[in-house]
Amino acid sequence: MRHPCCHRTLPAMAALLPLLLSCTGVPDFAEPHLIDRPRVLSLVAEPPEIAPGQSATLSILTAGGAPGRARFRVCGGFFAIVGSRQFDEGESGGAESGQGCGAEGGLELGEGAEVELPAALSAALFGDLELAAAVLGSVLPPETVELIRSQVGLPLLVEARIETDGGVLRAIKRVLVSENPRPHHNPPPPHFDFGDLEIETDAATPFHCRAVSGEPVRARAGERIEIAPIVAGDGEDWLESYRIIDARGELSERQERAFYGYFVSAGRLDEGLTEAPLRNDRWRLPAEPGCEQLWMVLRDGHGGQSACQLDVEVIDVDADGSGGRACGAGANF
Amino acid sequence: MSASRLAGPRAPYDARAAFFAWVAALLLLALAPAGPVGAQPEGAPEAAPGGAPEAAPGEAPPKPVPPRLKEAAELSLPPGTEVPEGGVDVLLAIDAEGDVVQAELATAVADPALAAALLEAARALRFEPARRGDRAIGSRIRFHFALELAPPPPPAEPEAPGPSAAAGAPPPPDPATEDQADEEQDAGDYVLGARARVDKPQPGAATQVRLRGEELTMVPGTFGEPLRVVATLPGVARSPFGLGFFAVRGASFQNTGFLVDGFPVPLLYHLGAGPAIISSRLVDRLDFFAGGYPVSYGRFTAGVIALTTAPPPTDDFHLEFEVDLLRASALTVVPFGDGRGSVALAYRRSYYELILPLITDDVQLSYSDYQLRLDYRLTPKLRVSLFVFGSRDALEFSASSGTGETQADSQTGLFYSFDRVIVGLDYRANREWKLRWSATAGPTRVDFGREDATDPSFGVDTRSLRLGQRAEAIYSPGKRLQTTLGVEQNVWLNDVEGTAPSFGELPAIPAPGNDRQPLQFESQLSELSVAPYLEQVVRPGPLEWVLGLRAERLRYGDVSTWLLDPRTVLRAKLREQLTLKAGSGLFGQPPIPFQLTRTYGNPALSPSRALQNSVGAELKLPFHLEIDTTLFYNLMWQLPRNSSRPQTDDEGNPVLSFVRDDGEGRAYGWELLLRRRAQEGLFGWLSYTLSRSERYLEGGKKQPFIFDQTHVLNLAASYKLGAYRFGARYTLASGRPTSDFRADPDGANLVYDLDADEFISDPSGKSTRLPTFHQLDLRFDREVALGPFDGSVFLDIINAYNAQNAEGYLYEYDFSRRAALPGLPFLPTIGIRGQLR
Repeated sequence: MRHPCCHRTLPAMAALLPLLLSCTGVPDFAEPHLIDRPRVLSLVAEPPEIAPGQSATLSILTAGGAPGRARFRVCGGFFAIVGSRQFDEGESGGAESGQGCGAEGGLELGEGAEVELPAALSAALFGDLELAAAVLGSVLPPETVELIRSQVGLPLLVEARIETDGGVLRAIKRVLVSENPRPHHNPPPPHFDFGDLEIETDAATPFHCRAVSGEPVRARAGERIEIAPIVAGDGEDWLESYRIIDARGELSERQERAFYGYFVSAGRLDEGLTEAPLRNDRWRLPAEPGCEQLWMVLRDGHGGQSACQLDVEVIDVDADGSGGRACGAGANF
Repeated sequence: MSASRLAGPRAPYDARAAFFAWVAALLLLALAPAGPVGAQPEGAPEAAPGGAPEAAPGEAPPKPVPPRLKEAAELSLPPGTEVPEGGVDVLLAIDAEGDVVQAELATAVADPALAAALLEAARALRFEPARRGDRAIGSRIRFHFALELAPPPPPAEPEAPGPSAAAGAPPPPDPATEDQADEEQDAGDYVLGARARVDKPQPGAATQVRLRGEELTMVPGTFGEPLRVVATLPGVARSPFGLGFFAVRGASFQNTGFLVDGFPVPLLYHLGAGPAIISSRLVDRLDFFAGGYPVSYGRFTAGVIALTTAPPPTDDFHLEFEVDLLRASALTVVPFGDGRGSVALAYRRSYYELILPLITDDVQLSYSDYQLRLDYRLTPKLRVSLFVFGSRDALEFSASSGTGETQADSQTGLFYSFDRVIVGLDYRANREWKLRWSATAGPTRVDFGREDATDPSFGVDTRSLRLGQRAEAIYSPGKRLQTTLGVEQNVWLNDVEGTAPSFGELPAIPAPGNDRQPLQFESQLSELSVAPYLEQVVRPGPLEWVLGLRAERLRYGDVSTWLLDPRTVLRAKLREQLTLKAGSGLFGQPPIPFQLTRTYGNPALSPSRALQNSVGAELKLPFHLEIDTTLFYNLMWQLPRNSSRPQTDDEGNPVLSFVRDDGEGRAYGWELLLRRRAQEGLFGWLSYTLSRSERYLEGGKKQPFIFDQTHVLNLAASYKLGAYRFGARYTLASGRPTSDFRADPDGANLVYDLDADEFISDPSGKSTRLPTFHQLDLRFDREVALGPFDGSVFLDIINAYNAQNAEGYLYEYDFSRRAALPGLPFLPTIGIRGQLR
């Protein structure tokens, strides 16, 4: 995290970076949106904002050979409650916190592709002021905890942990517990054009996209395909407003924003992450035929997510587009 | 922030041809045979030293121009030496190169040690050779050493066969130089002849290094910039990319102040590793206080770099220029009033728009600076000066995202500008009283902003007006006592407005790309300070004891407080060659304006404090060598540190304060400076610092400061051989602390934040250091004659053997790998300097 007071020196230093990298070459790092190793891509909480005493369903989407099941925990602690990515120079560790549960910490929720965040947990945490204050630490008096709790709510930090052959995958997201009479919702499932083909999310299979026409999705090797989310009218009508306590300690309204994350199993993406109104991306398909995957993760910038996986058959350049083998369907490939 | 400021012009591609033409011209000039300086035209009779060339029939020979002193000499006299009243005359034979080839005492000196010292000093003098027309000739002159504190006489006429020059008694002292002599006396200098000096530390300074002349502009790897020379001195940690941010004795770079003629300036260097904002030719001397600076200065808890400006010495119209691959500059000095005054004007401008397109089209950089200086001696006792200077910097970089219809450009810009006026009066009432007054005023503007088609614009625009004045009375009834009473007043009026990312909010649920909601803010911040100070110097015998007190009244934000800073320095001259010193004192520093804004800072921040302690010794050795060694131990508290932990205000409302003032730390170490002053064309130094700087964490833990470097070694030397000067500088420094963010083999320290769409690595337990830094810089200068100009062509090479130093690390998106962030590569710069004869 960069503190605003450094805005003078860092730009001056950053000016040298392109010059230096031009002389020495940019490091040969992997593309973050190319899935070539086990990854967790999405964790959807339905709903993303719950009232005290309400439960939520947690569903996970993985890729790159990662198992489709995870061990879920809810973490306590100061940074978990007020949200991660707080920082404090001079504190023990010195680095940003909000890094999930420790090796054995947190409250177990269960294991699977889908688990439930129980109603009793949200009720207990939200309803017990002393528990919330104790979790926050002694920094804030109870009146302030109550102010935060009643005005904007308390985020729970949920961690998904997956054991793999190479080690462990850990991913976190936040579920908001509040008394908001108009809690916010997840974005709608992905709906987009894949070239000339309209794609929608399959309601019967979690995290699975297919062509509206039902036909297999095919593309030629080396082809460049435009991926264009479909929105009605001038913009995403599912974006909502929400309240926060800003840096000045004042209650403010914020507006959600639409972020489109793209991931592929081969080839190359132009963007990887786009934001409305520049939503589209382009996928340069690999030169070799085969079965590949495209994932889209839609975020609203306030904890809400939706996602799906699209299986694409990459065919030879000279093929006539017929026949061939339909790639395997189903999420969590 | 106006959008038009971000739409900078692109350099046309045909400018590259012009640039390469410049480079070719400079290379040809550097490789050409030596110019006519010192050489005889073919067929012309050889002029013996003092001999006059034959004139063409019917033409009178051109009038000879006498030699002009260029490099002074040092003279250390044993205590108790009796000096002849009225000084000593020396007969000098000077060759066409300006070197003294023969010296002979013209005044009887009974003391053989004094005679030997005078002759040694005389032989070390260097001159601009005498000229007849455009030809340098040898000459003989009578030179006067004024060993009592009398002003220096002007150079005598050269003796030449034919028309005999006036000889005999030296001319009376020139009142025009009397004030300079007095000023140098006040600084503890002992004036000999014309501008030969023996530097003594300023009273009240526990540690001081003073640089002059070629030491300021000829050190390799510093681009000829005096201020960058400071980076080679003890106590200074190496800054990343050599950018010129000085972390002195374990403190943050903002804890060291930069003063020009006694007043702070906001920017020391131009952006993009550019030169200093003041022409090196207007810098008379640079004083670097690594700590323990006198009570006449304040507001910084570490060190002070004080520039004292002066016009280049000249008794005639003076014009010079300098051109290299990156910039061009010009300077002119016009004396008037029969030498009572002078006007100096300097201007410099970069031309990066010719060079950067060769490397990248995404960065635009330009800077310029100007200086106007007026000096005038109203009466023999009263001198007035006016110094107007300013600087402009513009840095813009752009990035494109997407292609075709979705292509979008983002532009980020940083603009720095400031102007200052400094008016000064120096009044020498009599030998005991001296009064000084100076005032400054000027605006500063810093404008940073980013515009993007998809993201809200972020920008911070800070406009400041600074007013200040200093008044000082110095009473010196004799060499044993000196009392200084002064007051410094400052007013800053700051207007900060803009739109910036909201770095803290509740609940904090991050968005992808570290994207944050914009927060608009506007603050008017003012800061007032009045700082009277008193300094008493007592010199009983070989001791010098300085006791000082600075009491600064500060008002800013929600703070109104006093800073009481007592300081003391003790120097004991045990022998002529050996001086012991010790110092201790309190220092304070108010927060910077941005830290006081209610939105991103804390208007109740307390000023930072430091207790500095040092002991050391100074040793003079043969062959013009000196050793200065110091042990230091500093404590720091009330340091600002960043935090976004929620806190509560008086009414119980949550407040996200980003700056707290409860940081603490310490720094300690040993410094060594082995130095050879500029003599006989050779100067250099070896500086070494062994140190540790720590900051305290909660629970009593300590961690090294981000700029902590255990070992810092600099070796710089420069030697002149005929028309050539060769210089080298070697730097060896420990790496800065860092953390290894690479993922553990099992990935247990890595977590993927699904809301922010980024990986977070926990480096706990993996503190380490960057690799050791090492670099060799070289510099070559060659004197040339360029028509009516005398000048030099220079080649400055940074990182001569292309050492692959890591200034940091870049990490792969999931921290599985890292790559070193490279430092400056092999970087040669050629240029040319000239001055009108």
